[in-house]
Amino acid sequence: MNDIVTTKLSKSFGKKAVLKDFTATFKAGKVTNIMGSSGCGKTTLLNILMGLEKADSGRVSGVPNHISAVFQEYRLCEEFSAVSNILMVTGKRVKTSEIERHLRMLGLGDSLHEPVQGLSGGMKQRVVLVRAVLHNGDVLFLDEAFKGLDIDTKSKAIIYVREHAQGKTIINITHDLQETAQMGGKLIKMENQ
Amino acid sequence: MLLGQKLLLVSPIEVLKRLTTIWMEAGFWDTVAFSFTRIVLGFFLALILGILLAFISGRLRVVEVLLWPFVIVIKSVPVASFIIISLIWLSAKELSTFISFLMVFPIVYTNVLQGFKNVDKKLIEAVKVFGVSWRRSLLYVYIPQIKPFLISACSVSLGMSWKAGIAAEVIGIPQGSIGEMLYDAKVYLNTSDLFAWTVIIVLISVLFEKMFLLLLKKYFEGLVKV
Ligand SMILES: Nc1ncnc2c1ncn2[C@@H]1O[C@H](COP(=O)(O)OP(=O)(O)OP(=O)(O)O)[C@@H](O)[C@H]1O
Ligand SMILES: [Mg+2]
Repeated sequence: MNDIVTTKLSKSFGKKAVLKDFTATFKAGKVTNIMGSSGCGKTTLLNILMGLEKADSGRVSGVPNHISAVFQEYRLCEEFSAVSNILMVTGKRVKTSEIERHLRMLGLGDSLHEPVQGLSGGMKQRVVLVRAVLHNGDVLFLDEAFKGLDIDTKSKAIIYVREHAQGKTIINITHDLQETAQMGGKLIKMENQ
Repeated sequence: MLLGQKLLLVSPIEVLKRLTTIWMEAGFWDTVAFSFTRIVLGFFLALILGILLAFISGRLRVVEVLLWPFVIVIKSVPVASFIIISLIWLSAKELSTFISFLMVFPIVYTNVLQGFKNVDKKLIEAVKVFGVSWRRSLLYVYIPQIKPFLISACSVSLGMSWKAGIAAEVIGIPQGSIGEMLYDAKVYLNTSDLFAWTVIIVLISVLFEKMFLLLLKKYFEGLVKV
């Protein structure tokens, strides 16, 4: 597995420069945390890395084909259950009982099979975490993946990710310094352009 | 005017009386089957082609642009013009299928296309990032979100296909059709027959609509587990 390297990435929306010559290395198999003020371009950077957005200039290398993500919004199929939402990304590769076991680990045992539109924000947040982990991509892109969780649940969720995504490249965007300590790895501070 | 008002307005009792006998007449069920199969065939052809082309148009803008003038023309030309023009090329027998198709196609096509464009872009991105197969994206993302558009298109167009299909038969007068019965009733000034057949058309149309929508919803429910 290769490091993910960005070289002089620039991106503007209209007149607004969001990224300017952003150069960084995300070590393979390691955690890299990203912090930065709201609107500084963190999500934009992830979108470029995931291939959802094109940079105006600069280069990205080392992103594998098989990737997993927790988006800043949940992006769940609202009329389907937690289990079905995860089955959608894993296919039959992962057994239903295995999916249920993972959801239970994060305390979602009571709402495995009801439509996710009825779940609270914090519950949906855990569903998308399990979705990303069980999809088992070589890289995990986490965009404020632990937001909306109380301290205990958050710690549990962080331990869950570290345990089940061991040895994977993780890029973790957050506004919480303590979270970066729990996640381990490196910290990049992004500046406003 | 010796014939009096009885001709113009029959009493509901008389229509009811006629209804109790009409279905026992020789050839009644053949007549109903004749019109039913042809109109419903037109409906299904339009349904299939409408959905198919809407999906293609949703993915390829060129196709949408190319189809646009045809859809506009079909939508705005009066049915009567279509019926008369079609009679030049088509036999009276196939006419109701074609006219029912013309009524249904633009409604299904435009609704499903709108549904397609309405699908949550963020979810489409997520599905792309996770590399979800084409089949599963269809089942989990596209179909659930397009479903209400398709159902409303069907409920609007089912009734129209019947009205237009029967109108085509009245003008084309294919032998053994409901349209022919209506035409004869008019020629022989047989108002109770006219009303009785009208009631029958409404009944079949409503029954078919309810049945079809029920089956459609059941089908969608059975497609994938919640
Ligand atoms: N598609 C878009 N069109 C126009 N402007 C955009 C678009 N996406 C992002 N921006 C702008 O780019 C800037 C950076 O947005 P981005 O979402 O990357 O910020 P962020 O660092 O993730 O912020 P937050 O911490 O609030 O999530 C913002 O000013 C935003 O308005
Ligand atoms: Mg963001």
